[in-house]
Amino acid sequence: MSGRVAIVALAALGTAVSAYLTWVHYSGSLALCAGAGGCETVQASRYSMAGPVPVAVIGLVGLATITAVSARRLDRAAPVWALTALFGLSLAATLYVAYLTYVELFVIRAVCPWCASVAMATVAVLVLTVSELRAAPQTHS
Amino acid sequence: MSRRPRQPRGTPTTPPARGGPSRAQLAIAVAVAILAVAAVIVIGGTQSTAPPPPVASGLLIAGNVMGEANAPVTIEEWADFQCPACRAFALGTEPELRTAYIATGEVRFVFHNMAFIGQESIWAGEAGECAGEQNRFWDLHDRLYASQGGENTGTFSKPNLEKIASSIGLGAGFNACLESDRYAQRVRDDTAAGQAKGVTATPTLFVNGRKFQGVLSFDQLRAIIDPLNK
Repeated sequence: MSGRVAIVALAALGTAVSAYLTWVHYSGSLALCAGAGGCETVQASRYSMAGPVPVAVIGLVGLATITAVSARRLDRAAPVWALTALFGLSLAATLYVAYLTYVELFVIRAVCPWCASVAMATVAVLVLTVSELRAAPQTHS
Repeated sequence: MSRRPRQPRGTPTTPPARGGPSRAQLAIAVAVAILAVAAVIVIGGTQSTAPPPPVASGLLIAGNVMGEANAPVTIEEWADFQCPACRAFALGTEPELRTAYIATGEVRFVFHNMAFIGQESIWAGEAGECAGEQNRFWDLHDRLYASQGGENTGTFSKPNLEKIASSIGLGAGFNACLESDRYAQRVRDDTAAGQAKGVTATPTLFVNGRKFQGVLSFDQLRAIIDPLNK
């Protein structure tokens, strides 16, 4: 599987998980505490919102955008801006999930496996994107 | 017949882009990414945290029971102070329920401990009982949910419970009660009673004996209560 396809697959996976977390947020599926669960703790914390916007929605929009841009790059004739945008978006996403993971581990002290899977997919997208960048001959402008 | 890829009219024809972005473009991407993330974190961090819910003043209170004894509707809740869904119900639904139905004498609300998440659930349950000795159960109930943190991570350790209680004016008497563990068995008995009634998750409500699991919104609860008040 080429790096481009892997990036699309990982971004799509992250989008799907973010969509699920968004659904959980809006459906009130925090309905039951049937056992100790880090997701419920993370979800109920104030860090699940960025201002008025649920973090899950930020993840959904961000990863859907990354999926769309990376899908655009499946066309070998894709413009250079697609790789630049993919790099910027995946870097921003990685910085944000790094912040959220820090909050989970050291502030909330609970880890949500769904959030962790999104974080891993995001980091993998950045790593693959950087390897694509290194493989591409650099242009000078 | 081979066909060339269609180009939008008016745009210059360029060969397929095989080159990568320039250093300047990458630097701009890095700067934009850092600024965007910083903005989201700052905006998210400066949001005001939800204010603590109003304490249960002005309501008829007796220990863990709130409302008129002869109210036509009785709601019994089984909950765990460490359960985020119970917090969502306590902070999201209960305030309106208190104003619209409990204060008006239409609903009597009873809290039961379903302390199943861990030791800190039992300590928090004991704290509620100790506050109840001074008829401050509901004040502490609200403050505990507002203070909820990770499960069994020290948020509801005894020293922290004493701090939380002192923030609503409970002092030496409360602390002595909590240290004595004299309500530990009551909390366990309450939990066992819940299990015997078929409570398997929290929050679970019994509205005039009919069981409802999960976080009911005020509107959902109103739809259940109103027919019983007719």
